[in-house]
Amino acid sequence: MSSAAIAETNTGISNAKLGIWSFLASEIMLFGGLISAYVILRSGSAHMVVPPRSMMGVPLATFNTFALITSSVTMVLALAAIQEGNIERFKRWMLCTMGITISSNLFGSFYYTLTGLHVLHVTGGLFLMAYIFVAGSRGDFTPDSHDRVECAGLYWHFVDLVWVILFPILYLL
Amino acid sequence: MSAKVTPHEAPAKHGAIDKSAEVRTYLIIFGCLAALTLMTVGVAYMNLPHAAGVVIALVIAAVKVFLIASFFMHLRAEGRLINYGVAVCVALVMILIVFVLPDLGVHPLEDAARHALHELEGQHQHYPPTAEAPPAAH
Repeated sequence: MSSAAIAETNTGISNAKLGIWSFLASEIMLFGGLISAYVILRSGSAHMVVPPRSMMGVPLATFNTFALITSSVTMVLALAAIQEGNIERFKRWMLCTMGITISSNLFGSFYYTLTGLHVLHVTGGLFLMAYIFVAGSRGDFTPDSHDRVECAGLYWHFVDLVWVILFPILYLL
Repeated sequence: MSAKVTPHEAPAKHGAIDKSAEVRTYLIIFGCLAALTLMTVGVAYMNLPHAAGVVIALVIAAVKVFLIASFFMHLRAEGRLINYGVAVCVALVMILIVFVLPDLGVHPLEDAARHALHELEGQHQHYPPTAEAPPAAH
């Protein structure tokens, strides 16, 4: 986005960034509502059966947590690379981000509504990153114009952030 | 995002800018997140009292969320509009979670206040206070 276009907005924030943050705000409420429902059921329902921790696959979930954190840092490194105008490094970090995500079991763990919804977000993020990778390889992004990379990164960090909350709630408590 | 709207990218008027300092920060944050993840798992296996385990795990999760939002999502560098918007969302989610707990018989603040009062009054032996009426005289 050009600087002139940003200056024209009332808020001083680009439309793309305002849009992605509005979307993330709705996502906070979506996951917040589901986490609230889980807390209510876990605390108040006699029918809620909590399996023992040995059945929960904690080591695998821990590995998945590391995978998501790592993919988050590779995503932000991809953003830094495009801001520096280094297309090759950008492509390498984007491939790392997608590769780490696919290799983790988050892609296939479909146990609960919460993790299922999270898996949907991870899958959507993969498609988004594939698009960003292709567009970046075509030379669509420059150090002065890379809104889409930053918005994709914000989405991906949010997915990571949600998992950081879900991991202890679902697997450890 | 173009360099103009993000304060920490201010030097970039046109073309590439040096991001090595930011990259170093990202890697430090990554190390912190990894360490905190290990800490979360370690605490879960320490057989602490359930309430203490819950509190510690949630505090660690909150620190991780803060680090991701501040550094990876660049909330530190954003203006008030986005930060206030996120704060409102977080407050609403807290309402969703915390305000329903009393209906479930969980009264953390009330219990803590009652416990503190009893400690002040030195009435330790009968905590929590029973609601039983004294035996009726015949």
